[in-house]
Amino acid sequence: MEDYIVELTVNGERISSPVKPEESLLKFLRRNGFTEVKCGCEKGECGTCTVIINKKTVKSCIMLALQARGKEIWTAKGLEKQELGRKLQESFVNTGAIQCGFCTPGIIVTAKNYLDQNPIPDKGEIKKAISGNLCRCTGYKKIVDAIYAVAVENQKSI
Amino acid sequence: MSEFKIVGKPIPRHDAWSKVTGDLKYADDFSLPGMLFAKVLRSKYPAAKIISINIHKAEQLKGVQAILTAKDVLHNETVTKFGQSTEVGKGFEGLYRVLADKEVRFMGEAVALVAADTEEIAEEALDLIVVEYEPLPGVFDPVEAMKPGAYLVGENGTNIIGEFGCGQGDIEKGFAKAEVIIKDTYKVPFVDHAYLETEGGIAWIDDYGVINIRVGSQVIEHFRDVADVLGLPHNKVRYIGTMMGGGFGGKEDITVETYLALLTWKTKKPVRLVYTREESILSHSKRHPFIMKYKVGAKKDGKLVALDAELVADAGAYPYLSPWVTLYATVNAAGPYCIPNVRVKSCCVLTNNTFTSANRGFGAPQPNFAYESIMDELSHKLNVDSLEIRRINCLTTGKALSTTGQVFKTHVALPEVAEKAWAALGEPVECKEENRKIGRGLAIGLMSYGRMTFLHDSSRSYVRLESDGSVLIRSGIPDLGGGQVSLLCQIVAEELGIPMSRIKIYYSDTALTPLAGTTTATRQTYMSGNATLKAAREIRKRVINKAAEMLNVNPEKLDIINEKILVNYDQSKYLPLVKVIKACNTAGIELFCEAQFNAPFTITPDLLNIRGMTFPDFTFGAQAVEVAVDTETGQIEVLKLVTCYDVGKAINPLSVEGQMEGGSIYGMGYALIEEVIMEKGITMTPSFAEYIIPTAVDVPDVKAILVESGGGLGPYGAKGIGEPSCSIIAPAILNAIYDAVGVRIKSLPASPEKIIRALKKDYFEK
Amino acid sequence: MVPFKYISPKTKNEVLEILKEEKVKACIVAGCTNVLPNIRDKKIVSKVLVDISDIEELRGISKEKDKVCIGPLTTIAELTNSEAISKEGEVLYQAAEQFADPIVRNNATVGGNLVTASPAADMAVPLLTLDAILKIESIERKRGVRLKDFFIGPEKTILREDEMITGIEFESSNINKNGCFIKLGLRKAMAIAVASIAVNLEVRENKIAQVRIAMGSVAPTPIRLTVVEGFLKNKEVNSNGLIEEAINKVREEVDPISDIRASAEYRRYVSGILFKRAFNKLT
Ligand SMILES: Cc1cc2nc3c(=O)[nH]c(=O)nc-3n(C[C@H](O)[C@H](O)[C@H](O)COP(=O)(O)OP(=O)(O)OC[C@H]3O[C@@H](n4cnc5c(N)ncnc54)[C@H](O)[C@@H]3O)c2cc1C
Ligand code: FES
Ligand code: FES
Repeated sequence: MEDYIVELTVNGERISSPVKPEESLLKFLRRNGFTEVKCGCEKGECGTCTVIINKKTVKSCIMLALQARGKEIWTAKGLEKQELGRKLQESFVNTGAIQCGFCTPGIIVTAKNYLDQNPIPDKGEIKKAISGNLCRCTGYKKIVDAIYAVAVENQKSI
Repeated sequence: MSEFKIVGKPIPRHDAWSKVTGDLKYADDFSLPGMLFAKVLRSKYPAAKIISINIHKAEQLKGVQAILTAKDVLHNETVTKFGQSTEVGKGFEGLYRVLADKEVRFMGEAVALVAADTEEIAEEALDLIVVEYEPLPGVFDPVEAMKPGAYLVGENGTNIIGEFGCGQGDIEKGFAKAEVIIKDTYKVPFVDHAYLETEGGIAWIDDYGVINIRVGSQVIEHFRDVADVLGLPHNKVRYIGTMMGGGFGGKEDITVETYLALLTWKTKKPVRLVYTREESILSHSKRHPFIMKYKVGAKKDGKLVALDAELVADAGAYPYLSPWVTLYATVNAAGPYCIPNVRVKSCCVLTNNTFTSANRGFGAPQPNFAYESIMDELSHKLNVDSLEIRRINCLTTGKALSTTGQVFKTHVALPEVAEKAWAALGEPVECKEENRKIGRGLAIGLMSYGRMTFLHDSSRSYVRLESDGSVLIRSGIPDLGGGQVSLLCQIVAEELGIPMSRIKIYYSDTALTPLAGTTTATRQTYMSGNATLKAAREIRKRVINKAAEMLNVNPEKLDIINEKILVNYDQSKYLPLVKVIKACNTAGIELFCEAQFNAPFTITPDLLNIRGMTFPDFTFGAQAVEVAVDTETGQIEVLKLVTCYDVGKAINPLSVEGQMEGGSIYGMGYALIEEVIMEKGITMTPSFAEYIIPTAVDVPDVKAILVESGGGLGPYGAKGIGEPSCSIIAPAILNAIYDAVGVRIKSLPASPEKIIRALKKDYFEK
Repeated sequence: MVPFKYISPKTKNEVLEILKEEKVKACIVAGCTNVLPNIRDKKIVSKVLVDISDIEELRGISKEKDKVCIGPLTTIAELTNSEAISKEGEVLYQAAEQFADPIVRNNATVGGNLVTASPAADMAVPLLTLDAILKIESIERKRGVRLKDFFIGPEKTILREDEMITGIEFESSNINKNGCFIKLGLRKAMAIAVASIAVNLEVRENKIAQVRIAMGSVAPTPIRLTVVEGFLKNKEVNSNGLIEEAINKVREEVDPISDIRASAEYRRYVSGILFKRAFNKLT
C-alpha cells in the first residue's frame, strides 16, 4: 500500500517520505517535523497552514502531498534565512503583532510572498493580501502595521 | 523607585521570537516515540438513551490498543471544580460525566475513547463501534425547559440549575416616579471561541508512575480532577501546560486531558489526542445565549430611576460554569450606572444543546448589550445626547454598584473614557450615496477582573537570582496568548534592574511551578503579577540592603539599573549587581523567594440576594463606532472603531493595545456575524466555512486609547483588560446602526437580513 | 475500507483512458480545494485520485480571433492576472477578484469550480452570462455543451463518469465585454455567496439589444434568468418603470431556499436589489 513516495525540498532541504494517496501536504509536512506549519481547520478556511510553493502561497491542507512532488517549499522557519523574511519576523516582534502566535507563521509566509511581488503596498492592499489568514487574537491591526512597516522600509531603499 | 525602566514600555514579548519562527511547540507539535493516537466517539443525537455499546469489532481491528467506555472509568461522575480550593456550596457545583453513561445529553458528547497505532486506525475503529441509541425528545429552548412538566435533561427533577438575584430600593416605587419607561427583550446567541488552535495534548507515564499531561489548558489545577477520575492521589497526575493558540475561556473546562490520562493509564504508552476543528466546534463549550427582559424607567432629563431585569441563560447539557457566568451577568445587569431602584433575577437552565461555559466576558457582554441598547433608546426618546445620558447616570469613584451595593474605593474613570472614545471618532465620514447611511454609536460598560471574592483566590510565584545575575522565575501561570508569562518577566526585570533577556521563566507545570491559579477571569496580571512583584521586591530588598551595607549608604538612595546598583542615580558611583549577589551568597542571604498573593476574601453570598463585595475590582471602558449601513442589502461596514479603557497602568502597552484591538474585533464578530446555529440540538455551523469570524478586510483600524489612572489593584496600579476589552462593542455597533437607519436590532448577530426585515417591513409583510 | 489510489497522468488522453478504465472509481483532482475537504468529510472515499494538476495542455488562457479559450486547469488567480479576461469577459474577471481569498485563488481552478456545481459557484455565474461553451471529452467522443445546460441539480451535472471538461470558451463579442458581477456574502473574504449576480448587456440605439442575467445561491443550481432576459430584450433602456418591473420579475424567477446564511425570502428580495445594481452599472 505504501508505494507512494513524495520527494520534495522544504526550506532547501530534501525530504523523501512514503505517503498515503489522500494525505494532505499539511499532514506530510507536520509528520516530517515541520511543525511550524500549523493546522487550524484542515479545510482551507484559516490559513495557518500556508506555505510557499514555487513562489506561490498555498494552503497546504487543501493540497495533496503527492501534488507537491518535486516542488520547492518554503515554510515560516525557512524564511529566517531570507532577508525579507527576517525583516518581517523582526517587524512582527517589535510591533506586537503576535499574541498567541498560532496564525503567525502562516501570515508571515503570506506577507513574505506578497511583498516579494508587491514591495510597497498600502494598508488596504495588505489587508486584502492576508484576507485568507484568520487571526482571532489581534484584530489584525498590529499585523497590518508590522507588514506595512516593512513596506515603508522597502520604499526607502528603492 | 523613581522612573520605570521596563514597565510601561512597548517591549517585545519574551516569547515573540519563538512564535515568529515557528519554533514554539504547541500542544500538537510535540511527539514521543511509540505514541498512540486517540480518537473520541461522539454521540450522534442531542438526547438519547444508550441501549448498548458494542466494541467487539473495533477491538479486533489491527492496531487498536484500547477502547474505553463509561464502565471503564473508575469515577465517571464527578463534580465540576474550576481550580478553586474553597468550598463554595452546592449552588455552583454540577455533575460532570467523563463519558456518557446510559444516556447522551447533547450532540457530540463523548461516548467512547479509542487509542490506536495510527490516527487512521483510531478513526476506523470509531466506525466499528456500534452504539444503539433510542432517541429521546429532548428540550432545546431554555424557556420551554423551565416550564413545569418539561423534558428533564438531568436527574434533579428540574432543569433550573442556578437562580440568582440582587437589587436595591423599591422598583414599584421607582417605576411610579418614572416619566418614561422602556420595556424590551434582548437575545444573544451561542458563539464559539474560535481560537485557531484546537484542543489537544499528549500524555505519558513517567519512570515513577506519574501521569504527565502536556496540554493547552487555562486551568492546570484540573490535574486534581483528572486524578479523582482515575482514583489516583493528586500528586500522581502532572500537567505541563503549553503556550496556547488562543483560549478565550474555551480551554477553561477540561477538554482532552481526562481522556488522555485514561488512555495512557490503560495502555501504559504515550497517547496523543488533538481535536479536529469540527470536533472542537461540536464538543467544547459555547458562550451562553441569554434571553434578557428589561424594564428601565427614567425621568425626562434622562436620570435613571428604576431597572428591572430578568435573565435566562441556556446552560446546555451540563452545568459546567453556568452558575458562575449567570452570577456575573446578574451582578453586571445594571451596568455602570447609579440607579436607586433595581431588581435583577436570573437563572440558568439545562437544555439538550451543547453545554455553555466560560467565553471571554463571562456573562458581562450579554447584559451589556441589553442595557446599553436601552440607554441608547432612552437617549433618542428623551432627546438627551448619548454622551450626556451616560454622564448624568454613570458611576463615579466612591459610588456603589446598583445591583449589589459594592462600593468603588478604587478609581472609576467614568465618564472620562466615554468622552475620550466619543471625541476620538472625529469628523463623520462623508457619504453621498443614496443607499448608504452613516451612523454612530456609543456604549460604556464595566467588567470585573479577578475571581469572585468568595472563591478566596490566591497566586504564587517563585523568583531566584542566580550568581551570574540572571534570573529564574517559576510560576504556574498558563499563557493563552495574552502575554501572561511575559508580563511576569517584565515585572521582575523592572524590580531587579536587569534586561528581559536575562530572565528565564518556567510556567504552567503543576509539579514544578508554584500554582498561580487559572488564566481566567482576567486575573493573571492582578494575581500572578502581584505575587511575582512580591517575590521580586523581597529579593530586591535583600540585594539593596546588602549593597547599602557594602557602600555604607542609606538603602533608600540605591536603585538597580542595568545590572548596576547605583547611588543616587550617579552613573559613576555603583556596584555591579553580580558583586552584590556574590556578597549575599557568601553571607548566606537567600536570593530566592516564593511569594503568595491573596485577593480579598469574602463569604459566599446569599445567591438570591447578593449584597456587598463579590469581585475585587472592575475595569471601566467605552467604545465608539461609526458604521455604514447599506439600506438595500442590510450589509454593515464598521468604518471607525474606538476603544478606550482605564487600564490602571499599561505594564506592556503593546500587549494592552493588543488586547483592546483584538477584543474589539472579537466583539465585532459577536455583534455582526457570529452564531453557532443549533437546530433542535444539532449544530448547523460545524466548521469554519459556516462559523465565520472577521477577516482582515472586514475590520476597521481599531483605535485604542489607554487611560492610565494608576487606580487598579494589580502591580503598579494595573487593572485587568483581557475580557473587559470585548464586552461592550456589540451595543456600540448596534446603536450606530440605529443612528444610521432608525432600526433597533434586539438579537445578535445583527445580520443583513435582520436589518432589511426591519427596514423593509412593507416588502416582507406582504 | 478500500484504500485510495493515486495516478498522475501526463496528458489529457491518458486521463481519458484512466476515466474509461476506472469509471465511477475515478476522482479527478485539479486544484484539490474541494476534493480534500470532501475526503476529510468522508464524502469522497476509496477513490482513484486522478491528479491532472500538472497537465499543461489543460491550462491557460488564449485569445483566438473570435473567442477566448480557458483551460479547465486555469486557476482563479490566473484569471485575475489576465488581460484577455479583463477585456473580453470582465464579468468573469470581477468574479475572480471576489473569489475566496488570494491564497485559495492560487490553486482553485475554473474547471473544478464548474464540476463541483455548487449553487453558489462563483465562476459559473459569470460564465453563464458569457454564454460559455464547455468542451467535454471522453476517450470515445467530444461534445460541446452550453454551460446553461450543464447543471442539473445541487452538485449534479450532465458529466458522465468517463468524461472530463477539457476547455471552456466564450465569444469575443460586444455583449461579453460589458458585464457586471456582484457577490453578496456575510463577510468580505472567504465568503460563500448569499446571493450573486452577473449581468451582461448590449445596448444599441438606447435599446436593449441583448441581455444575459445569471444568479448564484438562489436556486438549486446557478441559473440564467431567461424570463427576465426575454422581458428586457428590445426595451428602451431608460423607459419608465422598466427596472421596477424587472426587479419583480427577477424575484419571481428565482427559486431560493433558506439555510444558515439567509432565508429564502431575503434571498428573493435581495436578488432584485442585486439585479438593479448590476443593471444600473451597465447602463
Ligand atoms: C477557503 C475556501 C474558499 C472558497 N471560496 C469559494 C468562493 O468564493 N467561490 C466559489 O465558487 N468556490 C469557493 N470555494 C470552493 C472551491 O475552491 C472552488 O469550487 C474551486 O474552484 C474548485 O476548484 P479545484 O480545482 O480546487 O477543484 P478540485 O477540488 O480539484 O475538484 C473539484 C471537483 O471537480 C472535479 N474536476 C476538477 N476538474 C475537472 C475537470 N477538468 N473535468 C472534470 N471534473 C473535474 C473533481 O473531480 C472534483 O469532483 C472555496 C473553497 C475553499 C476551501
Ligand atoms: S489548516 Fe489549512 S487553512 Fe486551516
Ligand atoms: S495571534 Fe492568535 S490567532 Fe493570531
